[in-house]
Order: sequence, then structure tokens, then C-alpha cells
Amino acid sequence: MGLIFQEVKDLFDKQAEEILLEFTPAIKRSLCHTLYQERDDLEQEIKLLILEKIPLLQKMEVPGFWEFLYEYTEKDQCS
Amino acid sequence: MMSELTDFHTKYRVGLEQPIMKEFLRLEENRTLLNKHLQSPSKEEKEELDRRFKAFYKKLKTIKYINSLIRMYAIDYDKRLKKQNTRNLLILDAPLTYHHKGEETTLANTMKAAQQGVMEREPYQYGRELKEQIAEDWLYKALESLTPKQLKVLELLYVHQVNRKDIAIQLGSSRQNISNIHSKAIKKLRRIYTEEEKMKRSDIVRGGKAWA
Repeated sequence: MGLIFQEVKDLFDKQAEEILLEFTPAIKRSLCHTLYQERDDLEQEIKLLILEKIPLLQKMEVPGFWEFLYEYTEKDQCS
Repeated sequence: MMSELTDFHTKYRVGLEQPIMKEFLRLEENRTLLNKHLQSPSKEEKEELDRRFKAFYKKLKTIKYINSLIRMYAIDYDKRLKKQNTRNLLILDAPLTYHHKGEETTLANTMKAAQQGVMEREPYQYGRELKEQIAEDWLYKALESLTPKQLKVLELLYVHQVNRKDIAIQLGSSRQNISNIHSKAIKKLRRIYTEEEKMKRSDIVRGGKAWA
């Protein structure tokens, strides 16, 4: 139990770190409208916010390839 | 084979025209996999396509979500900051000017500086009273006729060279009031001085008579 939990946690940490790294340029870009005294604080807050949202994003339900195509075909036929 | 491809494309035309699907099929590997599957359908390839599309879809959604999250939060943060700065005008450590980080002048800094200006001169040091600096008898007497407050103002102004604003801070008064007290004291001293001069002159005249 403990081992599985650790593995899940490691996976989360790894993915979270990758996502944060990937978005660092975007975060930096968003800071340029803020006073530079506040930039460090804002950067930190945004990173925290992303970390909070990652589990939500990982749980997100997404359609498969065929599901996606069928869905649009049905919609097309209805209209 | 060609007809299967065309069939597929006509059947799923709307779905295939969706931007996300177009992007997915723009990738060479995905396109090849799909073509291979259409030529000779197999369960494995079908599942592989599903798996790849899910990952692709999830990644795009995540990027979109996080990007707008960052943008909205930064805007929101700025708004909050502006609101706070305009509402709370009297925060002591609010930066007055913006230099590099850590070098800002704050409201509190300027207040401290003003008070330090008074304290640095140590006005109550022994031996630095105005009356102790006076050699002339008449002036010493004249100073004694001033009120304690007038004397204090003159002492701070001339002995300790504190400016009127700092004197006002130190005595808990206004700058205008200090100026008033000062000019009244000076007027009084001048009146005593002119009387003294008159008396001296008449002394000389009398003395002259005595010698004559």
C-alpha cells in the first residue's frame, strides 16, 4: 500500500515538475505587466496554483480517437 | 483500398475537420497508423490510435487550461495590487519610488529620516545653551526676559542650527508657529538693543560733559 502510494506520488512529482518547467517561459511572460517588486511573489503564486490544478487535469475525461469521430458524426446527422 | 479511404473521409468528414483532429493527423506517425488500420483493420491499431489521441487531447487541453490560468491570474493579481495601493494610501512601507528591488524609498523611511535629523544634533548636550554663549551683559539680560519657549526656539535655531520644520517636530508645534515665536523674540531683542544703544549714547554724552 505504502509502496504504491509512494510510486503514485513520485509520478505526480515528476509530471508536476515537467509541467512547471514547460510553463516557466509562459509564467515569466505573464509577469512583465507587474511591478518588479511583486514579480517573485506572483511567480510563486502562479506555480502553486498550477500544482493545485494538476491532479484535476490528470483526472480529466477525454474522448478516444473513434469516440471523437463518432460524436461529431452523430451531431452532423442530427442537424 | 482507395474507396475505403474515401468512405472513411466522407463518413467522418465533420469530425476530421475539427482543428484538434487535424493537428493530430498532421503528425506523420499518426497518419501512417490510421492508413494502415484502414487498409487492414486490427484491434491493436484501433486501440493504439485511441491511446495516442487521448494523450494528445489531454496534453492540448492541459496546455490551454494552464495558459489561460496563468494569464488570468496575472491580470487578477495586478488588479488586486492596484486596488490595495489606491485604497490604503497610508501604508508605511509602501514604496514611494521604484528602483531596483530592495532599494525602494518607503513612507516609513522618510519619516525616520526627518526625526533622525533632529536627534543627530543632540540639542540637550551640556554646555550648548544659548545663554552660555553670550558675552555681552545686556544681551544675557535681554534673553532672560524672553519666554522659555522663545528662548528654546532661538537656541535650537542659532546654537544647534536645526531648521524650523525640525524644531516644530521636536516641540510638537507647527512650522508657522515656530516662525511666529522666532520673529516675536527677535523683535523683542531688537527693542531692548535700541534702548540699550540710546542709554549708551547718553552715557557717552554725559561722560563727555564730565570731561569737558
